Amino acid sequence: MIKHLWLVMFICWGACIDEIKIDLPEARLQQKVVEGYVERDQNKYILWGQVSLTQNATGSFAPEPIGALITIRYNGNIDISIPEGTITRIPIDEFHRLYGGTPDEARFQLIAEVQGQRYHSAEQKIIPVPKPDSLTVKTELRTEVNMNNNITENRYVKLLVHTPLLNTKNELVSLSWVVSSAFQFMEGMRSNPFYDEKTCYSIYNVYQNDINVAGVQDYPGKRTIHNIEIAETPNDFRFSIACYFTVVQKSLNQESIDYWKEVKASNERTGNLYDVFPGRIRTNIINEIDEEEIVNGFFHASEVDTIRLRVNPDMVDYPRQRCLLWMEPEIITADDPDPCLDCLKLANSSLEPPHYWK
Amino acid sequence: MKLLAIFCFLSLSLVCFSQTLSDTVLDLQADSMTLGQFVQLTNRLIPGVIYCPDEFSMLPTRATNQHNLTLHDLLEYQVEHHGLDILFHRNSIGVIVRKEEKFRQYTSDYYQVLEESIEAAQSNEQREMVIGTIDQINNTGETRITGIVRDQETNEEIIGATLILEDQSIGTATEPDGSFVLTVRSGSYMLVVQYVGYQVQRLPIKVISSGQLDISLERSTVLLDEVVVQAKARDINVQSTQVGVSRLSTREIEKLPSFLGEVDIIKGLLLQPGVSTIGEGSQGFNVRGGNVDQNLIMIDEGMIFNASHALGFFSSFNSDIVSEAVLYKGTMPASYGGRLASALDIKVRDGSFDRWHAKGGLGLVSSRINIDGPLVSDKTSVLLSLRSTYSNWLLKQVNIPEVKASSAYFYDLNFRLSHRFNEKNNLSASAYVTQDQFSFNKEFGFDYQTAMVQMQYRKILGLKTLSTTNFVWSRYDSQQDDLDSTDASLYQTGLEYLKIKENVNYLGEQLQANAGFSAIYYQVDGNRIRPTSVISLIQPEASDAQKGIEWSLYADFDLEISARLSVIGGLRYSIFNALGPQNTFTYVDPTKPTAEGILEPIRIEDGIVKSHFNLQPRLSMRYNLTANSSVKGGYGRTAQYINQIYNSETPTPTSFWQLSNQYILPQLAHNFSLGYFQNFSDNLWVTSIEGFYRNIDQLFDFRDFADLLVNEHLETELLPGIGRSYGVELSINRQVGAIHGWLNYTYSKSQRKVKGINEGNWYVSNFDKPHDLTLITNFQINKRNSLSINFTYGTGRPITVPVNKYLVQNRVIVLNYSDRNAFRVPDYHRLDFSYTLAQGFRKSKKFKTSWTFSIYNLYGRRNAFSVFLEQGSTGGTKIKRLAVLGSAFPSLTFNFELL
Repeated sequence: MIKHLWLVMFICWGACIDEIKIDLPEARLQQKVVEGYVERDQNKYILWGQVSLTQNATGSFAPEPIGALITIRYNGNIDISIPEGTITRIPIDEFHRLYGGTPDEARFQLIAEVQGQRYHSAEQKIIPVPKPDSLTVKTELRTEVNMNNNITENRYVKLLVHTPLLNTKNELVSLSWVVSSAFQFMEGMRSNPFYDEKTCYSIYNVYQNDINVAGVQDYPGKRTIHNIEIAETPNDFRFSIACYFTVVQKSLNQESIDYWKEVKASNERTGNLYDVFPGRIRTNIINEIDEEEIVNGFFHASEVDTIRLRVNPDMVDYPRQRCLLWMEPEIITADDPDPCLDCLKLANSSLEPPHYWK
Repeated sequence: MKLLAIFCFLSLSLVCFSQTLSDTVLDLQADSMTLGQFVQLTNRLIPGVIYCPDEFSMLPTRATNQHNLTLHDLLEYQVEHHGLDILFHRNSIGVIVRKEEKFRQYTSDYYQVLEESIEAAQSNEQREMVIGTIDQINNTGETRITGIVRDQETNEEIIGATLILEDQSIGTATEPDGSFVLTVRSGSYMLVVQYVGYQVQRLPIKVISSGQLDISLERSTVLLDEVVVQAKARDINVQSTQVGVSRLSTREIEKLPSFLGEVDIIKGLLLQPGVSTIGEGSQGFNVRGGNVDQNLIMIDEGMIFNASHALGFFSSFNSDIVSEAVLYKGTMPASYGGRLASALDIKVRDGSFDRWHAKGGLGLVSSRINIDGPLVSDKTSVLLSLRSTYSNWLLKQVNIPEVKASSAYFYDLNFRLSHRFNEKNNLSASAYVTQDQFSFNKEFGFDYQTAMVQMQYRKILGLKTLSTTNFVWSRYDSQQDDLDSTDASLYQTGLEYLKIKENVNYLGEQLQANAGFSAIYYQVDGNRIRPTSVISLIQPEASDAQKGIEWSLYADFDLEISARLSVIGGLRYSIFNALGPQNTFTYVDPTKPTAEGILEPIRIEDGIVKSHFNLQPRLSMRYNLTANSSVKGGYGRTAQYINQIYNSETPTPTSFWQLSNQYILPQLAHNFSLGYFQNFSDNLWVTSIEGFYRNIDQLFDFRDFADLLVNEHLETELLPGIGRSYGVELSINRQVGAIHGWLNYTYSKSQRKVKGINEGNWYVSNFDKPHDLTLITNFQINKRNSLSINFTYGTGRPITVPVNKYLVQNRVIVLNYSDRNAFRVPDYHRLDFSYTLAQGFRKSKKFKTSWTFSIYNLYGRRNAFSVFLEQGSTGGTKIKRLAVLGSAFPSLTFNFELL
């Protein structure tokens, strides 16, 4: 009896979270979101910018560029027009041949013109990014309560990065990471000896809303950081043959790291008693005509470096196996959703491996 | 006087005692009188009690002149012609009954009720007490009665007991040391002494000359006392001068429904008008729209910096040893200072000086025991009290892995040694220790503890003057343990203070005055964080320790200008010195320090870094419109030099304290109160309406996304501003009766204006709660059974919510929040219920027990603590509600008392 009482009590203390129907004070006017970035990897500059509108907090999400003229101003006086919402890639050599200057001195600014208004960002300089040392994975077994309130034991795979904070100019640099993955998947073995089972490659972006950043002030005195957890995913069939993690490491200046930390703090609120108060996320964009207009968004300039890790089943204690087909239907139709029978049914799957696959 | 007249007609004498009451032999010579009068006089001379029910008391007796008559025969002679007879019980009671009822079967309950009635009758039949002697008689006829009112059980002095001479317009109330002075002319009076929770004492006194009269008050029956939250006497709300005061006797809240059966002073305070909290599980309380850290919480003279157990679910005060809790809301006496909004003064009682006594309780979460008694009879007493939880054991029984791997533990310990050197010199030494430990699933944990030692020396300097000297040392430590691999770290903070206070009371008849000084030396630890595993990426960091000293000089007086008008005036002058050494920074604009405006780090060596001076006048006035109504007003200037730093909804164990310095200025406020107080039906109904306004002319709030932990330039995260709160508090209280209780309603606003937040416009504070209603109803079914039903309603608290969202880099969904506190969670309401079953009360019983069954949140309302948005992986968003308590919480508590 006491057990049950405590069960009820503790569940309610810790997890009395449910959906509620109330009217949130949705903003009457949509605000503009002006954003863009200039990134540079070993070979090229990547330019992107767009203007969109905020959406209701509870509404469906379909942000669309609203038809702005996007310009990247280079070194204060050279305007480079780019298509809104589309990535523009320019090889480094060609960029400087066209627009002059050197990579070390490059400064960028975003300018957007839309609906009779003109917006510009603060000028940003690209800080060289340290090259990441390595990636590793580790597994974790966690006892959890599932949706049906049953106790289950679940395995997870965590991706860890190890990297210096010092760049080639001996500067300590704040970093951010964007993680994606792709995995290999083999259809189940058929009884028909003439059927050639397919192997697919699927891009899996479960991490897209995670914000992984590290500010140099978070690690005072450190020149290298290790075991920074930048992704976590269930240890499941995606590790049964092979999986690749791709991590793009970006350099951030102080204002950018502060921006991302504020976004992270806003997104990680869970409504608990010890949540830090939310606030208005900073921006480095202003309306030149109406400076009072509330504008969202940020313009970043970063150098990026990419590192990958191939994860084989033995690295995460997952049995190496093709998809297990328990019962093969007599007639396989195109509508059959089982990827064991047709691996192209997997989301974002292709028969062609990514270019980096080995 | 009536009794004297009756004696003219009656001569009754006791000849001898026999084996039984009924065989007692008497001589009787009497005229006719009423049966009630006859029994009353008989009772004076026999070794037992005769009980005459009211319905027979007016029947006439026979005139008689008889000798050597047994009591049985005598009574039979007087009642038989009315068809009545006498029923004797045991060897001590006789009761007059109808003849046909004499041979009925009577249950033990009947005799119990009989005994109680007779005891009550006996208490009203005391002999006249003579004060003074003929040789000391004053030729003016004026005399002074001095004395002390004490608790009969514990010998503890009772503060605020009222003494009234019946049929005279003379009365007084006891002072903090239980003493009183009454000036009367020689003569005979009926002195009525009363205090809430105690039986009313009616003492016939004959005053010949000045003299001493010490009075012991007997407590009301165990757990049968009225559940009333009221001031000193039933009409104190009309008669007292101080405005904005709530007094809470812990005996009065014992039967209120409580969360998991834990009787809690702080939770009791939350039922008072103007006192609120942001929700279950939050630490502290808010008074008239003030911050949690703007309340001065004191045990005797020791300040408490974290008064909560279990992260805020319970308070750290063991109600069994608290004699009284007084909350001053805004316009506090000059002897209190250092906080803007309120002062909560909790007095711990002394141990008994004449007999050992134990009291305790067993609950679902914790148990408590306190033992007190004399080490040397009437000289030295000791009190030891311990409360501890066994929630750890219970957690292990829960079949949820995270819960099983968690632990929660707390205890509090009180010790008090009191010694009376003589009638004029008392010394007490006390210790107070609390500890809380909480860990969740081996992932993180909190640990915080308070240790306090204090000594108090009281000396009566003369008939009217009392000196009290206090020394307090206390330390508060808090730490958070993060056990996650790369974040494995230990964060620690704490503070220590030493306080000296000297207070002198003058207790005149028309004028009472109070003056003194205090000095508090603060030493606040720097916040420290260090890694606790080899793979941890946390770097050891520490912010600077702070030192400061707060000096205060104060004086106030309570003057009865006329029967209608009284004034309490006071002045407090405080100086706060921020002391070095200090590592700090210089700024481009020192009045508005910002991270971008840092010029250079500097070090200031020992000495005074910055001094703040504040003169704080206090004034309260009362004007009696009629005997049952008054108007009161009050003003108080308050200053605060120590602030709790946190930017979450409620203080956390990692919150730390920051002293005022050259950049962080003291918080300052003007507090105004105005009230109308009216009692009805001989103080049966006590009502009041009180308005308040607080203007905070110096405060601070936190920047958006303030970085507070181990920040060496914390001042750059604070934004200076102003604030205001105002409201009206309505209270209707039925004080006694089979059905009693109260209704409190508060309408209030609490607002801030800070440049840098919400475009510099006024915004509501986190604890703004316009409507707050409490209805407490108590049903005293009979002496054994009582029922309490409470209903609480309040406007939902302000929160900041997402108003829109956008996508960054086509990847990250960002929630865009509203202006600060622009929205509210749904309104809060809750119904609680409790039922107390006490055992039949007999005075002879040494072991008294009771059971209290309560249900907190009877209809399982999921009151939202917060509303937040949860983003799905596909970009869909759900509005979620966090209810800290989401169901009904039953509890059962067993209480005992060993006398």
